Amino acid sequence: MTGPGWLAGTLAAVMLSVAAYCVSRLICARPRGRTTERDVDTVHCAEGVAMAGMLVPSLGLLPGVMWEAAFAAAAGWFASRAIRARRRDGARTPPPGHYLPHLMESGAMLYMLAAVPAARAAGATAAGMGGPGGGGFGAGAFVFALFPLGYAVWTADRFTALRAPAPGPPVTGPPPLAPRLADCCQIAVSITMAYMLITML
Amino acid sequence: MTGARDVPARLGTPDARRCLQLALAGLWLLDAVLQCQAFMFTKGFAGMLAAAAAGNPGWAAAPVLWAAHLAGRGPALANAGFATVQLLIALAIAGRPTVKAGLAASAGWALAVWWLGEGLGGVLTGGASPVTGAPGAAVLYALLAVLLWPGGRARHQEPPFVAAGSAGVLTTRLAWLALWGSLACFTLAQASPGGLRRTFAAMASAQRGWISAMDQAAAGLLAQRGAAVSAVLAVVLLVIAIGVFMPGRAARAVLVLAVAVAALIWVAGENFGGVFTGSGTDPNSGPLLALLAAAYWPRAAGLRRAGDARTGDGRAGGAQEPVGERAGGERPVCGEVAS
Repeated sequence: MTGPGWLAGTLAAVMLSVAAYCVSRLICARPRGRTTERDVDTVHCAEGVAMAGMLVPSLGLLPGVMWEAAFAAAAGWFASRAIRARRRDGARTPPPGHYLPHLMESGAMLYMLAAVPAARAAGATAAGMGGPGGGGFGAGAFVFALFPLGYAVWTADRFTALRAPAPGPPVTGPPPLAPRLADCCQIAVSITMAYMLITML
Repeated sequence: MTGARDVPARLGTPDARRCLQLALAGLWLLDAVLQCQAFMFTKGFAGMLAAAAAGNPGWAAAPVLWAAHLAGRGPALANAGFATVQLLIALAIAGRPTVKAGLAASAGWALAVWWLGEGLGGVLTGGASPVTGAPGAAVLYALLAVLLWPGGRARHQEPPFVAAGSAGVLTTRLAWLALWGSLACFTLAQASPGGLRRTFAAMASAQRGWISAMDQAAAGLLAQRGAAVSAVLAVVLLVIAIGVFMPGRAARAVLVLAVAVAALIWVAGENFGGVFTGSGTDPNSGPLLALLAAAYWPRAAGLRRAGDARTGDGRAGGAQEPVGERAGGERPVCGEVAS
C-alpha cells in the first residue's frame, strides 16, 4: 500500500482487533445462548488478518496464494448461499441480497490480493522517479471501492434505525450476539477495504 | 453478521429523502477516503489549495492563501484533520439520530471548503466553466445538505418532490433555476472557437491511459467547433433550469436530461473528478448534480393527484403542482424514487 505508515499501522491494528473480536464471537455465542452468523464472522476474521498483512507487510501470516484460495472459497460459499436463499422463502431465511455484500467483499479481497504485489512494484517505481505513488489499477479498484463505501453507509443507517415490529409471524429463537458491535466491525472492515482500494488508483 | 435472521426484517424501510441522505453520506465517505491518499499528506496538497486563489480578487484570495499556508506547515496533521471531519460528517448523516447534526456540519464544512479549498469554485475569476466543475462541488454539498434537511411535515402535506420538504416548493425551484441558469451563463461566458479544445487538451496532460486518450479525442473533435458546442450546451442547461417549473411528466423528462448532462460532464469534462490521478479530493460536481436531480424528481402520487384534479377528483393543489401523498398513504421508499 502507498500512504503514510502511521495510517497503515493504525488501520492494521483496527483490522486485527476486528479479527480478534470475530474469533471471540465464534467462541462465545453458543455458551451465551446467542446466535451469530458463523460464516460472516469467519470471513471477517480472515479479512481482518489479510488486510492487516497487506497494510503492514511484516504482519503477513500466510502467502498470498493461500489467502486467494481462502477468499475464492468464501466467494463461492456466499454465492451458493445467495442462490439457496433465493430458492427458499421463509421467515427465518435472510433475503438473497443479504449475502451479496459479503460476496462482493470476498471478490474485492481477491482483487486486492492479485493487485497488491503489482501496486507495490508500481509505487516503488514511481517513488524512485519522484512521481506520485499508486498502482494505476484505475476503474476496477474504484468500482470495488464504491461498494464497501455504500455498504458502510447502509450498515450505519440500519445500525441506528428505529426498530419496527416485523411483519408476519414473530421470529423465535435465541437473540443475536451483540448485533451493533458486529455492525461496527462491518463498517470498519468496509472503510478500510475502500481505503486500500483507493490507494491503488 | 448482524443477525440477518432477525434484524433486517425488523427495521423500517428508508423513504426517498432518507435514501438521498444516504447517498450524500456515501459521497462524504468517498471524500474522506480520497483525502487519505498519499499525495494529500505532502506539501503538494497545500500547493493545490494555494492554486485555487489564482485569479480571485484579493479579499477572496487572501483567506485561501492563509489556509494553504496553514496546511503547508503541518500537511500530515492538517490532512488527517480534514479526512476525520469528512468521515465524521458521513457517519453522522448515515446515523439516524445524528442526521441533522451531520447535515448542518456538511453545509458549514462544505461552504468553508468552497471558499478556502476551491477559491469559490472560480466563479469570480472569469474562467469558471461547468465542464470543469463550476460552480464547485463543495457548494453543491452545502445546497444538498439544506435541501435534504429532514422535514417535520405531516404525511398528508408531503411535498411534490423531496427537495421541497425543507424550504418550500417555490424557493427550491428558484434555487434549481439559479444553479442551472448560472451554469448556462458560465458556459456562454467561456464560449470561443478554441476554448473547449484548449480545456480538454490541458486535461489530457494531467491524466493517464484511456482517460487521457479520451480527452485528446474530445479536443480533436471540438477543434474550431467550441463556440457552437458551447452555445448548444448553454441552451440545454437553460432548458434544464426552467424544467422544474413544468408539469410532472415534462419535469421528469428534463430531470433525466439533467442526469445525462451531469454524467457527460463528469466523464468527459471532469474526468471522474480526477480520482484516477491520485490527487482527486472528491468526485467533483457530476454526481452531485445527478443527486440534486433525484431530489427534484416528482413523486408518482403527485402525478396521479394532478390527473385527479384535471378530472374533477382533485383533493388539493393546482394541476401543475404535483403535490402528493400516495394513494394508499404509503411513503415512497428506496428504489421508488424514480417510480
